[in-house]
Amino acid sequence: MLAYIVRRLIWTPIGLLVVTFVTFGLGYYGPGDPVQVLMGQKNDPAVVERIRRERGLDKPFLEQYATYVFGDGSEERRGVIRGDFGESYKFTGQRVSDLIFSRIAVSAQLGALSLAIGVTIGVIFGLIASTNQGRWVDPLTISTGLLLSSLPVFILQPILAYVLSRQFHLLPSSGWEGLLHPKVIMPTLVMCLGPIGGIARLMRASTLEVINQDYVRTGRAKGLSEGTVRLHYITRNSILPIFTVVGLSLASLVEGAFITETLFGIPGVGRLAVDAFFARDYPIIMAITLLVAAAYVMANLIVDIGYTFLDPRIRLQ
Amino acid sequence: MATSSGIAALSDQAHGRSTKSKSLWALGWERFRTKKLAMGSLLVILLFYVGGAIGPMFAPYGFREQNLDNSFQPGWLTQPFCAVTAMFEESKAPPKIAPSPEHLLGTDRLGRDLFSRILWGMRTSVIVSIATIITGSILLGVTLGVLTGYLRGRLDTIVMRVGEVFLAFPGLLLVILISATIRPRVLAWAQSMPSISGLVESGLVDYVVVFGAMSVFSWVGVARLIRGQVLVQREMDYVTAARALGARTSRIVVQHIIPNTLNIVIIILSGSLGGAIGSELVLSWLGVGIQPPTPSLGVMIWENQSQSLLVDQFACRVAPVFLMPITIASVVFFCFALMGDGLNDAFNPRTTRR
Repeated sequence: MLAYIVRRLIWTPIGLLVVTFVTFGLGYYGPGDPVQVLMGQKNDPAVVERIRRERGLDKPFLEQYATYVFGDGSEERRGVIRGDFGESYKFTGQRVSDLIFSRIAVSAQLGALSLAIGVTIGVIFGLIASTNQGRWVDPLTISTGLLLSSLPVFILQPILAYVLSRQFHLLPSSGWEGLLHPKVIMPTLVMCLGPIGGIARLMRASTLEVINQDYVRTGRAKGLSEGTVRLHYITRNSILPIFTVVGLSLASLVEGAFITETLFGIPGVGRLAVDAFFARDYPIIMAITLLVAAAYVMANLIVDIGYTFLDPRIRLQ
Repeated sequence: MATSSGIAALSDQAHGRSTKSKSLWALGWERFRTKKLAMGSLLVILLFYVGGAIGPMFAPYGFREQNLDNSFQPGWLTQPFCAVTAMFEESKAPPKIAPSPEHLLGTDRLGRDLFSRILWGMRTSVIVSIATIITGSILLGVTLGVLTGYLRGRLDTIVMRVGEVFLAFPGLLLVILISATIRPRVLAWAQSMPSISGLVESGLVDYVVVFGAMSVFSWVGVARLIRGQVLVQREMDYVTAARALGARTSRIVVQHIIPNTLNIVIIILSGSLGGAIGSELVLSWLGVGIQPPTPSLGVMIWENQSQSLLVDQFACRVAPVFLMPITIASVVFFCFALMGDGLNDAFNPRTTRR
């Protein structure tokens, strides 16, 4: 167990280093010259050359990469490992770390809320389907869950905005004013649909697996109420596989955030990423890629370790 | 169903009658056929693929045939839609425009026939998704999964660690980055070769870049699942028996192990096929996938989605142009999900019992 955690913790930074190398390489060889982006239309070759030298963009690829990751000892470039992702090309003079950390709370709130709602609905759907196994409710619930999950965000947003905002004036269509403002409803509605289908299907399957176990029969045989058996004997065991999926669904959640935040005008990391991408703002793109990868790896490590506490039968090796 | 026919076969044997043994496909198909929802979805998906493959040959118009006098003309199939939107548009009654007999679904902003463009867009989805499945999932994914699972050792460690790194990447962002950074290079390279520069015009380069970027990310999940299956299969007695009989590794893998993982393979492949269509849609919608004028459902949705188009007084003429590709995409995604569910029930040995 301890050896497993240590091994994973050793592999994590190596994996993340590979991630930085690939993103840095793509940024280095990709189209668009950062200095050109910085200077805009009017550029004096001498000034371009000076900025290039100041920023170390004239150095060979590997040297630039090493400076990017480990810094060069100066206060301006402390390197990724000290939490410094350099300066944004587009937002001149702003540190990438400041730009991201001012937005990360918004994305985290929206993502956590959507995930919580989506998983809850999925679990409820799965429970309904498994309780009514073999009846028409079963395929109906699962298909409804799959239908909700198969609607892409960029298809839902215009339709919801048209119906709910324009025709019936029920909800504001875009913007962000914190978790308690009605503006949060529509993006959450769109984002929470993603996990429902998969979770419902998984919950149904795992409940059906548990439902025939001996201990469930024992619970019924000793006269426990149906509610107690369902809640404490069946659901408590069948919900365990859901935790592993929640860790894995983080990646699709982030992808959903890119599109949702852009469409709903939410000032989060996802929108920053899409904007940065179109502005060829590589420092921001690299930083966000790295952060998402790190979050994904850590979330799955936590899920794996947490799982051994939830289900003591599991042994990690 | 499966059990009853199994019992029938047993009783046939007991009575000395010869019975034909059923292959995995026959058994799976037998179970799959009883699922109405999944069968219906399979039909819709087949329709989509056949439509995309041969539809453009029968398309009444080319995908870039414009007629600016004829922009946003309702077609006779979309005309009833105007009656519905008219109920919402209080005073601003849409101008009465007679539905065009030449256009089934009407025309878009540039007067291009929507029905034909949808057929061409479907062709893009078909080409990109099948190419991604063949290169990413089958060539890379299945091969690596079988090799790592059977040979294990150092290769296994390396491939799985690389896979973990790939899994940790935010896939969409990386595919966007790759197709945006590599496309100009591939384009320049293709144009510099006189023999294939004609292909640039046909949009083939876009296809290659998009499915290339996607297959780089689609192999990991497949490889991990197949590897898990192979790890189980290689310890089975029949593999030991084959080895004891002197079968070579290549024969054991091809003749014994791969056929026994096929049920998992087809479940995964159906899922990745739908996923590939979705990724192409998102990429093209973001403007880094298929480039106009090459038609793609993603491009069509992006071209027609702006709110100003939806809310102005032409709503009833404009909305079909946007809603048609959307409806087709959603229906296909939904059918893929339902079919995957049915395939899982029919082919997955762990779930076939119920």
